[in-house]
Amino acid sequence: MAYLLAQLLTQGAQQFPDHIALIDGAAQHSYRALDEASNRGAHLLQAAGVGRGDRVGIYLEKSFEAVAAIFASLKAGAAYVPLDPTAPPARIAYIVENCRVKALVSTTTKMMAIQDRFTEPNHRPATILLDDQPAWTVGAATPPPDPHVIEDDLAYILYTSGSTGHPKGVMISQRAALTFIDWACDTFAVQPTDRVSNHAPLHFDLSTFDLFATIKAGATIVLVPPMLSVLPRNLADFIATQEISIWYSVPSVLTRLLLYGQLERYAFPKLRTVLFAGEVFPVKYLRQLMTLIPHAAYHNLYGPTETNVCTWYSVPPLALDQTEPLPIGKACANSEILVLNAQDEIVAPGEVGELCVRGPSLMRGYWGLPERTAQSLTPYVVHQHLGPELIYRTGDLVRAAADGNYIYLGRRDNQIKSRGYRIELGEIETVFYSHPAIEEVVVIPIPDDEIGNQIKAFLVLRDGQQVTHGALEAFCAERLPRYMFPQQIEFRTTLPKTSTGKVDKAQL
Amino acid sequence: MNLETIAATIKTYIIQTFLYDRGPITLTNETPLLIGGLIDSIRVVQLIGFLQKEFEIEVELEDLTIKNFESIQAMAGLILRYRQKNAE
Repeated sequence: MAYLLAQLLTQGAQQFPDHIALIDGAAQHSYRALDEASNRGAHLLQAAGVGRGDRVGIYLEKSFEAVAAIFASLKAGAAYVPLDPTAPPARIAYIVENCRVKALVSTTTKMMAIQDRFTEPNHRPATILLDDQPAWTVGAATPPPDPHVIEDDLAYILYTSGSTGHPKGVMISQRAALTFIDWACDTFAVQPTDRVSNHAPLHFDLSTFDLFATIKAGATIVLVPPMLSVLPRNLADFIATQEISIWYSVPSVLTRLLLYGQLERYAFPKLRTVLFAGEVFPVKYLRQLMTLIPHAAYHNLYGPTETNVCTWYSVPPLALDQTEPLPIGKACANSEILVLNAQDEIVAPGEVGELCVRGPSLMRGYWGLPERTAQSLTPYVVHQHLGPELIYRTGDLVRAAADGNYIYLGRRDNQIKSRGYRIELGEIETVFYSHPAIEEVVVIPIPDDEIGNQIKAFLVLRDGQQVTHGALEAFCAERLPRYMFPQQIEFRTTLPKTSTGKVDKAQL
Repeated sequence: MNLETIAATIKTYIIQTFLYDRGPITLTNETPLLIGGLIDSIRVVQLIGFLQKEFEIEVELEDLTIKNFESIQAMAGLILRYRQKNAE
């Protein structure tokens, strides 16, 4: 029985030692190789002082080493904190200091970029640099001493956009992670013969399916080189030649593949399951994709990072005249969904309310933010005999259709999705407000078929100040990941206001 | 317009539009642009838009490949081929 993520690999290595666990470019790595590499990594981490309850930052490009480092952290008893290799150095340093990372697995070049961004000299993490020592190939490959982790301990912390100007760390326990992994592995019947793509970056929660459900099944993870995503035609070639059987990504990647990938060049006979999550998939594009690759099963997965996937919808053949948005479906096994109105009452079927989740897949909270956690994880009496229990309030407005499937209607707040990334518009506004020349700013989403939303900023400059688009982009680049940059910036002399003095977005 | 002038135009655009968030970097016509993430999926859309407008061409889907965009040299070659084809 596996109740910890690390056990999935240990057991896989016993059962399928010579099976290919991971493909990274031209290199193939067996279950034994991945298990041994992560054992060696765990010894190194433990020697650096890492133990149960600590955090290990993974600051590497997606690779065999990065995946081995993830399992090494888990085997050492720590939670892993995947860091976006393309994010601004200041943001990386903030995260490392924010959750008190004990050890950082990285490379010399990457560490040089963030070295001078740390602000607390007393909390420097230990570093394990993979370019200096052949860390994963020499030394004892025996399992490290058991750190006696239990399923309530943390497995990973994923940082998402925070409305106050800093990212916030979502703490996911071993049990919460496995609740999703067990469900997914079962529902999509992942087999040892499957070749599962890993397209999402490791700091994005979609990647947990690719890594852990695949390893649980004894299947093969095929890392998608980030370069391939740049040009869809090459990505299509990759899916065909790598004989991917299960694909998982955000819908905007599939839309780009459909529009620019010339998919008709291939039959994709091995592709049996296409999973997507993170944003709304426009029905017209999904229908075209399903026509081009008719033998695959398509599933819409829903759930914020805080809950893991909690509902899903198996897409039936789509009628030509269907224009209603795709439902997010019904509760996953081991998750309970409630829809609450503004008075906190469970709504009647068909009424609009906030989607809330009860069950073992919920996060433990936001790292170091007890007040913010208490706003999202709130006690609620779902079942009288159990008394109050913590439920997670997603902030997503939904209603149930007649067949019981939930339909996503929008957000209660200022959060949007762009390219599947979740973005708090307030975080972008806070960054602009920190610019000395800017008097006032509002950031709004512009709906876009291909990427979900474009981001547009309206700026009012202080009297006598001037600033160019280029200078603003450079300013953002220091502070925000690129997917959060506004695509459009418009200068105004004033912003329209409502009677209460708030910016009137409808008048923009 | 020859290969050199096309390459120079692309280089100026890349420096002005994409290089502000990098430290000192030497950009040559052969520098790999896709491997280090200098050009990602967000920027490639922007770049293709610029190339089509600037050089009055329409890049066909089958030419949207890594081979044609991996360096300034590769892009300049692609554009020259289009311009020669259009001139015929």
